[in-house]
Amino acid sequence: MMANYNETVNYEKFCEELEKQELDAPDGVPPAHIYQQLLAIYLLQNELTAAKFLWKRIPTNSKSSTPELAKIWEVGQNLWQRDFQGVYSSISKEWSPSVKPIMEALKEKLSERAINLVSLAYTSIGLDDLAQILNLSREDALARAKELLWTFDQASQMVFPTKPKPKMHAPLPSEDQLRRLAEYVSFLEN
Amino acid sequence: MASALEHYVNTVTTLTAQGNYNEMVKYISKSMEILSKNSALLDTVLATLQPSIHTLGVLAVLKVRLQHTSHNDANIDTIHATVAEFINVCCQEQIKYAPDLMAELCESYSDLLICGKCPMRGLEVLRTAIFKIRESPYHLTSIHSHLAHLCLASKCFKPALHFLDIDLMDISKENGYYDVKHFLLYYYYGGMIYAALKKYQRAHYFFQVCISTPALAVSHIMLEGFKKFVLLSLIIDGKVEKIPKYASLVVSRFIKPLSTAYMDLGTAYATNNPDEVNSVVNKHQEVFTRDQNMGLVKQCVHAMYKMNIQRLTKTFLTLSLADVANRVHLGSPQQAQKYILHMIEDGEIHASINQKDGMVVFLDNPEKYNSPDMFGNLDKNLQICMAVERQIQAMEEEIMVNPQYVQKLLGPQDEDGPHSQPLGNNSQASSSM
Repeated sequence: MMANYNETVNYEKFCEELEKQELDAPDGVPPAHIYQQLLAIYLLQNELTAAKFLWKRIPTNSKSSTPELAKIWEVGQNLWQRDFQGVYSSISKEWSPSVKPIMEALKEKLSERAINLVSLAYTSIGLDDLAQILNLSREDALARAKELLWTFDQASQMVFPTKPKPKMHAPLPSEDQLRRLAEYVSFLEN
Repeated sequence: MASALEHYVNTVTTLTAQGNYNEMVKYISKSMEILSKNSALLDTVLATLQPSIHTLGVLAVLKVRLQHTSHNDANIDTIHATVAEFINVCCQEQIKYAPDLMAELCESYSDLLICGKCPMRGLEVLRTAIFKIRESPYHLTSIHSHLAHLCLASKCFKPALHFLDIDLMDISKENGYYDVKHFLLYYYYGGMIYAALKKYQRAHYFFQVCISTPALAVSHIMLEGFKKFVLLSLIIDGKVEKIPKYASLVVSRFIKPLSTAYMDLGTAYATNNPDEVNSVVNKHQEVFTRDQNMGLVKQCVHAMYKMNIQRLTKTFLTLSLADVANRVHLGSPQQAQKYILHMIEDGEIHASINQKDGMVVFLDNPEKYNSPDMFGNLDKNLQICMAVERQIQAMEEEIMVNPQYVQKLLGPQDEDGPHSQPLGNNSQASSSM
């Protein structure tokens, strides 16, 4: 969990750096690998509008000289449509080293998101549909469901997901809280 | 001729050395004509002066230089570089003496970039310019609107967002250069940026500011702003929001007849029937496309399905997917399921799908308002309210000690005595209140 957290922070910083490089580029066109990484990071952060406008502003020259850009954007389009199947098939490619770790992270995040969505939105879901959303074979999907302690009804071929548990919150430092409350009271009284 | 320029350089150098910036501003405004006449030789002048030291002198020369430049000038790249360099190193203290010149320079510069179709390179430059010229982070300058324009043109919104997200409190007058046009454009472009990023609430607010600006006549910016205002209020609320009461009369009187297509759309929207909305969209397609609002119109239609589903949650506890599809006029139960799935993921409805029976169960909001998160939210909003209150108090105090205000307030009483100069006393008295 902790490692995961660190990673997202890193990507945020990385993203800012890339944005700055794009702005600082002479005549406004940075090298294509910056576009690639920035586009992939936007997808990872699920900043689809940002990704869309980045794609729109990438000059045609860069697009044609770096065909991988279009492939990254294909993933983005599928994400936009929330077409899980489409995303899986467009993301399962051999990516160049500069974007590979980002795409791997995106893949991981995607399956997390899919499981979250299923448990949130369904009280029962057909095994076929589940396998499709998770991009697994029927057997693997069933195994994954059992891992999550979801029940399975053989007769109807239905999986019954359980609702996600509410997240635990870090308690607020009480002194700080007390100070704030005092501030509010003094504000409201005056 | 050249000697006139030589004289200019000499005077600028002397006045800068003396640090007499007031005199300098007077001198350069007088020299504008001479500079314009010798526009061909300005590059030499630029080469002799140091932007970081002779900021005001260079500013004037650059301003004239840009006015005599078109975007297909042979030296356009050098000029861009000169402007960028100047804004980067110019002396902030001197700029404060001539904010109007700086604003004009930025305007010509951004016009050049737009014409030359390379708005991207100006973003960082104008950002720096705003940092240098603004009196506080809460001051709006005319450069803000140019930056928003460049961001829109380059489809790169992050640099402008940094400024748009600030709630402004005052406007830099820029020695009278600041015009209502800059104000309207800032809110119009800003609204467009937010709308593009699907931050509908904030976009709506920006267009609202745009149309409620005091006016004696309806400007085109306001008219276009109103059209987008209507579309956004449909997306957010499902109905056309009334123009705020504090907007000028001319706005409510003249703007509606000028945007009938949008009013028709609003009327059709009120029926909650997608077929009617679609027929209006088809009927006025040409208008919407010409106004470049087709994207927003499509989002309105999309939002309507969502709103219809949301309405169902108020009436039903459970409903079959086929019924949902039927009631909100969607093609198939699968499509209904897709909409519901998206809405659940975005937290727009609380429901769960039961595929076994093909049913949807609508749930209550699971938020119990007892979590630390909610507390944090409350905390944040309280802080904002307190900051606003403090700001209003400060503004009120400022008005209370304003001599003109005090004079007006005490005006009638003044009639019985010849208090010709009690102003200083009065303002002191009121400030101690």
